[in-house]
Amino acid sequence: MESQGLSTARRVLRSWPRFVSGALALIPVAAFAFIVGNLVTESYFIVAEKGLGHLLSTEYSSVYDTGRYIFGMLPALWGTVLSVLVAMAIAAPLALALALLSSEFPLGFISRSVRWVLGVLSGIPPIIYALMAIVVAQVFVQPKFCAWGIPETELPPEGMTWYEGGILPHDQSTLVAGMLLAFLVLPFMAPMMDDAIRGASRELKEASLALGATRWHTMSNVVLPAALSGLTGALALGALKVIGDVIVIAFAVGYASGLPSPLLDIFEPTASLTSVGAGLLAAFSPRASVGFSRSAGYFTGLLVFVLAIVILLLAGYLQRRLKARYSA
Amino acid sequence: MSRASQTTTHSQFQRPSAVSQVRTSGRWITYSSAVAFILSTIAVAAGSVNLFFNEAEFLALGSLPLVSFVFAVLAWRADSSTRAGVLGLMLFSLLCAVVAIGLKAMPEYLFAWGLDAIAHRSLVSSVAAVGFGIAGMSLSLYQYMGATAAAEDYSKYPIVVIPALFALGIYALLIGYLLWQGLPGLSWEVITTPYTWLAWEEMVYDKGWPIWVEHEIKQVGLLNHMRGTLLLMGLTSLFAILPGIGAGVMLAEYAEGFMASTLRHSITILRAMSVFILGLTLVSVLNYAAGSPLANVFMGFYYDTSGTFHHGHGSYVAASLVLALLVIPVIARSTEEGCRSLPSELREGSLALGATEGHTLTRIILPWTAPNIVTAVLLGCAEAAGSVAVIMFIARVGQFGVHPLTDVTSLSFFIFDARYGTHHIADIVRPLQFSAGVLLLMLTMGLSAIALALRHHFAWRYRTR
Repeated sequence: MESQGLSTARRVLRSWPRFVSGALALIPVAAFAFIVGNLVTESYFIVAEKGLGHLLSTEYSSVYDTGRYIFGMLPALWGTVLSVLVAMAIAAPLALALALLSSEFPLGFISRSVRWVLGVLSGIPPIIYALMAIVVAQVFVQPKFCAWGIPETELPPEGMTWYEGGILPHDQSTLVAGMLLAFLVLPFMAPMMDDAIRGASRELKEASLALGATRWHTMSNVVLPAALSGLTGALALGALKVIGDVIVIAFAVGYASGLPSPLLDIFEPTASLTSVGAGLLAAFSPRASVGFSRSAGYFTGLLVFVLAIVILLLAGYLQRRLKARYSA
Repeated sequence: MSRASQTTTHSQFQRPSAVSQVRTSGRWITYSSAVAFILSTIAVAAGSVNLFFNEAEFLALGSLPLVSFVFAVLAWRADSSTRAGVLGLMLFSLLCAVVAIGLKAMPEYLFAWGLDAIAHRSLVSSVAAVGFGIAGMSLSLYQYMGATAAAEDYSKYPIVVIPALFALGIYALLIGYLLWQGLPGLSWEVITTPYTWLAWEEMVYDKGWPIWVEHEIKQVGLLNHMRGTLLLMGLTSLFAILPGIGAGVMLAEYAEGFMASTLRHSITILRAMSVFILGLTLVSVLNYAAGSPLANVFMGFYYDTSGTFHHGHGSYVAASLVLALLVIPVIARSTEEGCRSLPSELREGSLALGATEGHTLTRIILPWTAPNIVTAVLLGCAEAAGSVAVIMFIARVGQFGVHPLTDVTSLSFFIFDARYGTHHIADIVRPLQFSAGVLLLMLTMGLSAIALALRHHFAWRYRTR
């Protein structure tokens, strides 16, 4: 064959696709390494100066508030976790309903178009949801959860903050952010859940139907447990998008300094990792030298990254366990 | 209801008279269950209206006893195994009606475990009305269809359809509100006026004496933001397409083992990474570039009104390089999918006929994957257009021109800036934020719709396998 007579140089040149695509494929890997390395090196300064214990404490006051540099990040971490919980609590049942509508409960053209509609809706950028924060607060949260027009004689017990005009005139709270974030991640979660339900083992489903069980019984006892690993993946994707979101949190939650006073208080503005980080960095132009605030801002980015890795690992572990347990 | 399914599947084939004595079909059954269905639907509608309007509370409160009546009617005709359940639902809903009406006698609030809120009493009645309404719809549909096993399947439709309709309705409300607020302000004049706020002084000689004359241009418009968004989309696609295709081809064709898993993991994590981290990366990159010879390219430059050279805060080149990192995983995954879908006959036939790898790649694999790549690039453009978090630290309003070496600006940044920026003309800027949102929405949703239509159009290739 002719190729046996080729010189080595010729042979190497002939396999240029490998080298070119390998070189191009190195770019995302190198970029990822650069991003992580950058986060670590920039936050090294404040970890070395203040120590991890101080950084993970609960007290936070920036230079704007009191003039002292205390960077406890636990309130921000807790605020992010709260918004994830609220958003997932709202989004998971709705996403499951949409996924079931398009896979197991077909309604003709409605269920065929659900997938397409969700795809178009997934293109809506987060800033649009952030614009709605005020109207959501005014239409839903404030009529239902504020005490508008209550005379002072009928006040609630102490411990609740009282502003003029009623409790909680805030138009910013974790509840508003959670609701908006739920609708932000819903178009991404529902098609993933749909794929998971469709991809759940066909033999199990058809065996159950052949044995005479109704479709509802099959769906709830056979298909959904088999699809649980895919559903967990969809939930993990939603959680990742929620913790990484900057703009909806900035518009809808605002900024606060400490932990919320009962821990689960979702009706007041809470600090959040991204909002704290953006606040720490926004005062600095790119040419500023490394300082406490800048390094602390990068540390919040590192915390977001670590949280994302934790969620990914946890979801991977759960998926493996569920797959081993439930699939054929 | 699974117990019911077991008994009714039996009773579908043989009806031992000892099991169920109740008729499951007949004129009165049909009428009563139809009435029950209509009443339950009214309850669901009343509950959802009450969820948004506190004043419509009487609707939800009135529908709760209605729903109890519905359950009583259904219990009358239910067979023995479900009767207990239906009676239980009836009592529970009566209890909720009593509690809600009793709450109405109380002042308007409930405390919620010391949280910073006071819940309105209509929260209870609206949620209860919706919940019991759905249950009533399901049960009455079941009886209407004759209480068979097939009926049980169809009767579960409301449980899925109502929440799905609720979600889609909320999207319709959100988009409708945006259009309602933004469309009136969106005129041709707004789109074609650049945003400028320049003030400068000019020295002129009047009768021999130098005097300073102040000039000011103050106009608000979306033109340079619009152009900035388009420029950002174009540059990002340009920077992302080659690495994306390379990574996708590498994953599908050439990588094995450790290399493949590293590449796959890093692409997945890049996709999952928060845009906040990418914004931090951009700030770092600009920090490193500030003192280097590439400062003009990365930081951008402009000449202000007196002709002085200034370094900008971050150019389109730098922002697109970082935004491309968001888009590369999309393109890579789509390209990989397209490469894998190539029928193996084509690939093997090409290699058997003596074509080199490069020839196969460029003449056969890449043209086959081209629709996937185009779809992914469009989706990536939509994402680049909407991202604020990456550029929010460095973006300005772009009043010194929009070309790749000036300050970054974008429609989505305009919305962010209108809320959080300091404008001396804030009262003119702020009403435009909804119009900018409408423009951005049309742009991104249009791109997504086109991308999905393309993907659907080219999906016929997969059906032949």
